[in-house]
Amino acid sequence: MREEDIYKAIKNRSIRAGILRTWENLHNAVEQNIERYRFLKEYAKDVKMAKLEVFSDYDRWTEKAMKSIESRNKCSVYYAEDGKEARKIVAEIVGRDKIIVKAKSMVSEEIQLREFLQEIGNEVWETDLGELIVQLANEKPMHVLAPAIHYSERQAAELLRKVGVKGYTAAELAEGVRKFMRQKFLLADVGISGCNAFSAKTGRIFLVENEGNIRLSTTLPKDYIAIVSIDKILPSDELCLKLVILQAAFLGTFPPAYINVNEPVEGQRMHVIFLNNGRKQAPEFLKEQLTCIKCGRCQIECPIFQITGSLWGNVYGGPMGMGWSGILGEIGYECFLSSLCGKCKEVCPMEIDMPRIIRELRKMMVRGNNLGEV
Amino acid sequence: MYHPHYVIRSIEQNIKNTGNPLGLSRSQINTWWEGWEGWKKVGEKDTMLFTGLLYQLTPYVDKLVDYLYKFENTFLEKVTRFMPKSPLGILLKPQKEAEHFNGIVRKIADSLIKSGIDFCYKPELDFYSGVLLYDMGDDEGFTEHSLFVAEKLREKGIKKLITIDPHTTYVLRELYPEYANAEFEVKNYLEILDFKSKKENENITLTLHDPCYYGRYLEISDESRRILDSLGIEYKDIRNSGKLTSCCGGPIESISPKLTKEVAENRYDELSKTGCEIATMCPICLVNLRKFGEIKDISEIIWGAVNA
Amino acid sequence: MPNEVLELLNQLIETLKRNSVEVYISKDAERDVERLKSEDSFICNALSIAADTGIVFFGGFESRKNSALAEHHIAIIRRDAVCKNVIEAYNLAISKSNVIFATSTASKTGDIEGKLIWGMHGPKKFTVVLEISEELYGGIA
Repeated sequence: MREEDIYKAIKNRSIRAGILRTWENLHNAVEQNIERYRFLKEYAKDVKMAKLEVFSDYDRWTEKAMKSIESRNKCSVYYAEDGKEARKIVAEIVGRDKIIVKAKSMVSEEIQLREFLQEIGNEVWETDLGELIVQLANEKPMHVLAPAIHYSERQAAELLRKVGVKGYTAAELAEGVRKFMRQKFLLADVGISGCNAFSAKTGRIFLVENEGNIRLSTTLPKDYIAIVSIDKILPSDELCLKLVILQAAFLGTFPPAYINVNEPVEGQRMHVIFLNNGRKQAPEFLKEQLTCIKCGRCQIECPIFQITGSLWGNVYGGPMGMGWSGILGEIGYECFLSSLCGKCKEVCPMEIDMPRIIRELRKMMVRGNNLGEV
Repeated sequence: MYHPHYVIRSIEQNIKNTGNPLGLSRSQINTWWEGWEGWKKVGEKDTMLFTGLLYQLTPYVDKLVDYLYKFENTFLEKVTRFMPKSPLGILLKPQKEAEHFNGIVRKIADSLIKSGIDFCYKPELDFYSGVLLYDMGDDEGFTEHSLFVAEKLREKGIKKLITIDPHTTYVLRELYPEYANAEFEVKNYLEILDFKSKKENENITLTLHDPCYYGRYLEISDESRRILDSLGIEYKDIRNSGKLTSCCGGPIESISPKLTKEVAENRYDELSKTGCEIATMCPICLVNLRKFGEIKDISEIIWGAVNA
Repeated sequence: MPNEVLELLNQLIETLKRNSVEVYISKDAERDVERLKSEDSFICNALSIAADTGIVFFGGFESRKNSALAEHHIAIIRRDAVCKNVIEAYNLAISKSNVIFATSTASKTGDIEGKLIWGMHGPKKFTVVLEISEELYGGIA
């Protein structure tokens, strides 16, 4: 995080307006989901336990996960230690002069995949409406699930005009993007997605969404690349299903429009890249953060995030972002901007003690005399 | 953003020198009991009113934060690194505010007496808890300070403590056993006030701003409401109260007072939507939120109702 | 037994409506679906559906592609595909097909100012034709 980002955020009042509006829209829905679907709490417990089990032996589970699809036809499996290795693998698969449709994926933000693929000479499209707006603005997503939360209809219209989408209202813009992107889907050579959950038992990739762009991105192109960070590995399909249901229920209206269960199929070449990027090496106190399902509820409920959006943080902003930055080895003194108020822990479906994690990060910096000079 | 390095170092240094994070002398800060009427009603007991000095310090902190706010993100920001090391007492003289906050402490003490609770007060044993060091991740500094405080209290045979703010309560109750090996019986005043009366409607409706530590860390939000119920004072809770209460921004005021102000403004806007009088129960929340409108400390309202 | 079945079906219908799904109750789905279809629609049989959440499972890669591309996705659901919850529905679906996918409503987005827009990239409309037998028909609320 750059220090000036905080002041940028304070000045840009549309960030807080957008986040507070989203909060207003969603918190009742989430509370209603929790009330109506009593099984959610059980699911959360099951998933958290399973994730902790997987982390206790990442090597074994990663191997198991890789084996689960290695033997399948039409599928290549890779392992990347870090972002650089992952980008290299993707570059070898993709080559250049390709049209690439991307599902919104935080792990690809983590390794700056879109920018990289463009640099080596490809046409890359973020297909999620919010993420497309962010791409056109050349910014980072303001929230894990609602990336363009801080743009007004008017600003979105201006940005979308860059790709010839006309219109003023959200409905007109969505229709324009639908038509524009449909052509890209049909022409695309490669589709790229992340992964919400990976079943080590069957090799299935679970992805949850509302727009249908993930389904189209991962179904239409002849080549499909899935990037699976190893924290997404779960022992069974059932646990994967539970996870995607949780993710949808804890930030928004439920049920999600689509649950995708992707696996190698006739008529498509699938490439699965398992990515570590700091997860195996995470110190003990950060293990709990790895159970995060990235629903982003802690962000939207956080009083600091409500002012700054994800400008407070690195790839992942807000309370969860502090822990993730720790895992990715990029934590800076932004962790001192948390008020440790504990709201994040209170609303987290996995009950991750983020204030504890943030204080541990501070301790680490104080102890290691890592605060540095300015 | 003030660099945590300097913030932590100066807090640590000041606590070492004077026992409090601002480096002010205790005789300057802890004056609420001077001339206090209730003085003759408290005596020698093993239960002590332990203010943790947070109410008393807050007007000074607020004044300092005013400066930090003005200098933040300007060329003067770096100058402030030397400020906390200078004799701040000269620079900061929030006379009127100090009287107001001393008055709050006095009202809490008076309400405790009115409630029939036996306790003593020993100004020389009333220390700052060290909470800021803990929050900043300076466990070494915090441990050292907590051992010092716990030892002083033990020496004088103090076994039970009555605390008056959320941070001191949390630190003494939850952290001192672990860090200072000190098992005091810690009660917050809101947990023990009991007027044994069911009063008629007082004709006030409040909206309460629960401090995060009462709402979540200590889970004692019901206590203030129990007291209000017994005094016939109504309250209208908003969604973000109790366990879901929202922060006033105070805890980051030493790093980014500008961000603190924005957070507080958001929270004030939310609280004021009910149209009711707003009450809080933490000195830090109080100074931060009242920048945007009138706010009272709940102890002032309780005292008012009891003495009506 | 029929009472339990009826309860489940009524729960399902309520759930589908809450999910903004167009529902038709039919004694003969093949016949009724004829009236609903158009050149922009894609019709497929559901493998299973969860009554508590309204999540519908389908099978086959071609169906996945065609249903995502269509303007109007029509699902035929038979009584024996109705499950109590999503785990049951998943297990039933996976026992019938290797490649499965789930849909519960039309494509939607709220990415611009939180305004709900239907038909973002996938179908603009999602219809369920629920086929039930003569004797249950009368018990549907």
